Amino acid sequence: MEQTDTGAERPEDTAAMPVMAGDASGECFPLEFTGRGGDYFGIWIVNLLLTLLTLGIYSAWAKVRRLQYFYRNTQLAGASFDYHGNPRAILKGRVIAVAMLIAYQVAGGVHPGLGALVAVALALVLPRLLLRSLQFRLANSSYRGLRFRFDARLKDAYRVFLGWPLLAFVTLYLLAPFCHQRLKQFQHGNAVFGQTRFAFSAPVRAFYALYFKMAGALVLGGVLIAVLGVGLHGAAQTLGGGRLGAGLIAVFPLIALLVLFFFIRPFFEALSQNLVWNHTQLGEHRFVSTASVWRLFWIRLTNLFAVLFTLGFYHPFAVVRLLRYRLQTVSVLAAGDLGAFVAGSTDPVGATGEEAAELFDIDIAL
Amino acid sequence: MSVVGDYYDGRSTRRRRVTLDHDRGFLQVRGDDVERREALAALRLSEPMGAAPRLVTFSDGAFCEIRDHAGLQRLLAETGHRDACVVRWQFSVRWIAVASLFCLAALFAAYRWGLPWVSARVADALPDSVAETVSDRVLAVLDERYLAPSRLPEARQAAIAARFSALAMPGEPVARAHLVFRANRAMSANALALPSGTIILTDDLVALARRDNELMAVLAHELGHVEERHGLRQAVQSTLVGLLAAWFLGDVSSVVAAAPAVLLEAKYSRDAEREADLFAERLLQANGISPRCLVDILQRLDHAESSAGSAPEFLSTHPETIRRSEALVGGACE
Repeated sequence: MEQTDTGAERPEDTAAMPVMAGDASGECFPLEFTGRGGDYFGIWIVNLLLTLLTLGIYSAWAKVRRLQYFYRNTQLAGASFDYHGNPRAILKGRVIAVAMLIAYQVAGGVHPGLGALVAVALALVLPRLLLRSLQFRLANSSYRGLRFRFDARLKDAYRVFLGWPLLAFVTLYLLAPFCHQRLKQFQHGNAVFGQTRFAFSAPVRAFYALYFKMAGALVLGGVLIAVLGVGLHGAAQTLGGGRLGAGLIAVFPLIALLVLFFFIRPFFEALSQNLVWNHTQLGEHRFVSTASVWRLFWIRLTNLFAVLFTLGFYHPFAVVRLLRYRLQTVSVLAAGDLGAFVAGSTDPVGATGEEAAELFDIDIAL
Repeated sequence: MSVVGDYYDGRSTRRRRVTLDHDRGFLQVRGDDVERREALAALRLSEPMGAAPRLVTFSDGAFCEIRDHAGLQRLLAETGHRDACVVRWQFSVRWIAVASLFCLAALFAAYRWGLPWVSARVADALPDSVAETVSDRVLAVLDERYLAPSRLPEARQAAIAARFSALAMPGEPVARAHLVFRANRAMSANALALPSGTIILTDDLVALARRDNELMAVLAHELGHVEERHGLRQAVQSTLVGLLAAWFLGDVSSVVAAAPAVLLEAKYSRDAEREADLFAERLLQANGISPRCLVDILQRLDHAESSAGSAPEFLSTHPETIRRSEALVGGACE
C-alpha cells in the first residue's frame, strides 16, 4: 500500500547534471524515463502482497524498491540515478512516526487540552523533522555514483516551515505566494551535488503572478459555466426539452464545476514546475521545464477514470505515466565545459523525519 | 563471456567504458584507466528493474552500470547467480496473478468483515458523551430544516410514550431510549433513531398506523438500531471508507472519492436494517405482539412511498419490504 508522490520535488529531478569531461558546451540533455507500467505493476503487486502479509512491516522494503525502480529508470546523458535508502532506517522512522501519531490521538482522547499541547509540541518539532526528511532523501540519492546532499540551517527550516506559514495564516493567506517562494528557495537553494551547490532565482513576484493566473483561471471558468448554464436553461425553455433535458441542465453546472476544480490542480502543477525549474541552476548549468497544462490535465483525468474502473489496479500504470511526462518535460542545459563533479562529505542521516512527514501527510511539495 | 558497462569510482562523475569478465570466481573489469579483479562474493548486484541498468557495486563504493541485459544474463548464468525469490516473483506472470488474486481477496475480506468489525469496535469504544453530542447536533439540524413541532394532542403523545416505556426488553436492558414527537416538513412518514437513544416519531407515521401495536413494532425496530449502535457504527464506517478511498485514489478530488463510499455503504445499511428487524422480532415476541405488525406498517409505508418512485435495491438503504416480510413471520397483527 504505497502512495507515490509524483511531485517535481523528487530528488531525481532535484538533481540532475550531465557530467562528462569533454561534454560540448551549451548542450541540452533531456531527462528520460524508461519505466513501464507493466514492469512496475509486478513490483507493486508483489510488494503490496508482502506488505499485507507482514502487517505493514515490509512496506519499508517496498518503498526502497519502488524508489529504486523510479530512480534507476531515470536517465540523464546516458547514466541513471540511484536510491540508497536503508529499509531498516525507514522502518525505524515509520515506527517512531506511528508512535507520535498514537501519542497525539491518545492525548486528544484523554483531554482536549492535552491534545492541543501535544499538537503544539509536534508543530515545534516539525520543521526539524522536515529538514531531516529532505536531508535523508537527498543523502540517499545519487547520479553517476555521486551523492546529493541537503545543506540547510535549522534556523531557516523553522522560518520556512513554521514562521512564514504562520504569518501567511495571520494575513489571510495574502502572503501564501511569498511563502511558496521561500519554501522553493529553501529546497532548491540548499541542495548540493557532490561539492556543487544548486541555486534558485525565481523572484517573489513570479509566484504572485502564478497565483493570480490560477485565480484568473478559476474566475474565468466560473463565469463561463454560469453563462453556459443560463444559455442552456434558456434554450431548453424555448425548445421544451422535457424531463430528461431539464435534468441534464440541472446537473450541468455541478459537473462543470467538478471538472474546473479538477483542472486547477494540473494547471497549478504545470505552471509551478516550469517556474521552479526554469529558475534553478546547478553551478553554471541550467534547467529547462516545458510541462503543458493540457497534457497534464489529460493524463490526470484519464488516469482517474482508469483507476476507478479497474478497482485501483491501474494505479501503477497511472503513476508511471504521470511520472514519465513530468520527467520528460525537464532538460538540463549544460553550460561551458563540464568538469568532473567530485564527492563532498557524506554523513548518514536517520529516516525519522521523512517517515514522520509522510505519515502526517505534510506535502513538502507545496 | 564478457559484457560492456560504464564504470564510476564513486568519488567523481567521470565515466569509464569497461568490459566485465568472469574468471573462476572473480570478476575482471578492464577499460580506460581501470583494471580491477574482485572476488564475486565481495560484489553486490542490483535487482533487475525493467529497462533500468543493473549495477555491480564494489565494496569501496565504485560500481558498473550495465545496460546489456542479455549479455549480463549470460555472464550471470556462468557464475551460477540466482536472484532472490521476491525479485523473481515480481517478473513472473504466475506470481503476479497469484498476488493480484490475493490482494483482491484481501480487499473483499476487508470490506466484508474487517471494516464492520473495526467500526463496531470503534463505535463501542466511543464514550457516550460523543453519541450525545452527535445526536444533539443531528436533531438540531433536522429541527431546523426538516421537522416542525408535533401537532399530536398531548394526551396521545403521553399514551404512546407510556406504552413504549412499558415494553419489556428481551435479554439485557437496552440503552436509555427516549421518544420525541415531530411533524414533518420535508420528509414523509418516518421514524429515526439517533445514536444517543433518542427516537423521532413523525405525526404522519402515527396517522399511518392502524393499531398501536404497529407503532410499537416500528419503535422496536428503531430500538434495534440504538441497541446495535448502528448510527455510530455507520458514521465511523463512512469516515473510514472515505479516508481509505481518498488515500488510495490519492490525488483524486474528494467528491469522486466519496462515490465508492456511498455505494459500499448502501449494503452496510441494508444489513443494519435486517439486524434491527431481528431485534424488533425478539422484542415484539417478548411482549406478546406479532412481528406481522412490523410487516403491515412497513408495507403501508412502502405503498405510500412508491407513489414518489423508489431506487433499485443496490442504491437503497432499506431492504425491499417484500423480502423483509418473508423474514418476519407470525400471526396476524391485532
